[in-house]
Parts: sequence; structure tokens; C-alpha cells
Amino acid sequence: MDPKLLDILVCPVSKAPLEWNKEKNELICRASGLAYPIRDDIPVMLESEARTLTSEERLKESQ
Amino acid sequence: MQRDKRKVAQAFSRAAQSYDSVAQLQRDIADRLLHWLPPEVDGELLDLGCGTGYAAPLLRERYPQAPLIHLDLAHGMLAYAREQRPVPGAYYLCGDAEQLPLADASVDLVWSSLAIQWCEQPDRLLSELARVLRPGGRCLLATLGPDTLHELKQAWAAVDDDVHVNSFIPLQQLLEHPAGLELVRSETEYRVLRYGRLQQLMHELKALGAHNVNHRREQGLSSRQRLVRLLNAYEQQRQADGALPATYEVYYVELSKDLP
Repeated sequence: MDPKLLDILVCPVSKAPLEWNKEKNELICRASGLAYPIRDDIPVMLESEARTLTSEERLKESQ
Repeated sequence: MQRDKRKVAQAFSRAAQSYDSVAQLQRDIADRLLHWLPPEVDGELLDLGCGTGYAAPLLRERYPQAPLIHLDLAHGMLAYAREQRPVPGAYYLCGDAEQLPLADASVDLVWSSLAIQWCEQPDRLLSELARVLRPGGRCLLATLGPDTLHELKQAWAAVDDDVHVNSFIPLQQLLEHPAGLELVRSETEYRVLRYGRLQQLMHELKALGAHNVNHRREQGLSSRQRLVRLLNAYEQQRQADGALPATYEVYYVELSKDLP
């Protein structure tokens, strides 16, 4: 994940900045509680393709 | 008339391999829009609805340093653009023009050739463009108007009352809620493609992934009888030189975001 791209990427729903979860290869938005997949090195920034974070993940993410 | 965006994305992803062979019209329109590019940009370029990435090498040539963000609803198009038209300093994002995944004031120039005609809510599109543009930034758009494929619409009207041809909105409606963007200039152009046989046109529309995605889509040309009626109706429009015309109403639009 290119840090320059991450700098200008936001969650399309909340417009909040994103964090890259390297293990899952997802872009996480804490504000909206959504995780966007990266497929074939292309971030898929569509609400319809995003995964809703579990409450466990939300707790962990907010620590 | 709502369009199902997933269907749009799927249709275009499937079409990525065949798109370039039949997309001369798209290339001509992009080439014309190129004339409106500003002499220089300070920062990021956004190719909105980049499709197969036709514009990327041209934009790169004009602006060697600017980061170039490709954005498209269809993952297949992005993968194709990256593979077939690689350019240095390029990024690829799957995203929706009405819900952009880019930070406020992060882009200096938005380029969009024949993509935004698929948008369902132009006011949302324009407010997103206004949001991501930096003050002083520009937006160059080529899109289609409601007269597009009027011959085909007319021919279908002789067959049944269903909607078979995508309906695009007039320019005034597109720019009704400019959201802080200012219209610098606009031009309307009628481009007439000519075909020997109607099947060629229908085949091209399919190859472009641009066959009808409006809801209430019927099974298209499934019935032989309906096809014959359509052909006969379109035949009425055959010109003196023997060609069947297919008109595209093309808008070229330049918008700017005011400096504060």
C-alpha cells in the first residue's frame, strides 16, 4: 500500500481517513465501521463491496 | 429511471477485452477534450471513469510529474488499464463518482471522458467533484445528452413501449446544482456514426458494455419477430448514401472551483 495514496484515500461513506490492515489486506474505517478489500492490488472503495467490522474488531481497532 | 450500478460495473468488466476495438468514438471524443487541458497542473490528476485507460498516456505526456489516479466502477477495466496502458506515477482505485474515496481538496484536475452519463444523481456527482477539487482546480468532462441514439429509440418505439435505450440527462439538468463549481465553457456536438447493418450497431453497443442497463430491461432481441420489426423501423431512417445513422449527442464541459 503506497503511503502517498493512503494519504489522500478516505472512506467513501464517512470521508474519514483509513488504516491499512496488512494481515487482512483491507482498508479500515473506524468512523463507518467498514473494511474495504484490496483485490489484485486495487483498493475496492465501494460501500456495496465493504465488510462491516465485527464488534470485537471495532473494540480492537479503537484501542 | 434508476440504473443498477452493479450491472453497469459487471457489463463493463466483461467488456474490457473487446472495448478498444470498437471504441473509436470514445477515442475521438477524448482527443477533442484534450484540447481543453490547462497548460500545467500543480498536483494530482483524477481520471474519473478511466475505462481502458486510453487517456492515461496522453495525460502523462502533458503532465509528466503529476500523480495520476485512475478511478472506475469496474475492477476489470482498472486491471486492463494497468496492464495495457501502464504509466509511471499511476494509482488505481475502484470507486463510485457519486461517493468518491478521496480526501477534500486532494485533486487539481478531474478528467472524465464518457463516464458520468451513467451517474444517477448529478447533484451528488457535482458536490463530490467540488469537494475533492482544490480551490482553483478544474474539471473537464465529456458526456452524453438525451438525443444520443435517438434513431434507435425511435425504431424501438415502433416495436413496443419499453425503454430499450439508455436515457441521458440534458446539460442544464446535469449542471442544475453546481455545488460551488463554475461553468467555464461548454460545447455540444452531434456525432453521427454510420452503419451498413443495424446488427453492427447493436453488436458495438454490447461490446462497449453500453447496452441498456436501465431497469425494466426486457430480453432485448430474443424474439425473432421483434428483431424484424426493429430492423424494419430502423430501415426507415436509412440515408440516401445507404448508411444507417446512429447519433451521439456529446457535451464537453469545463468547470472550475473558485479560489476562496
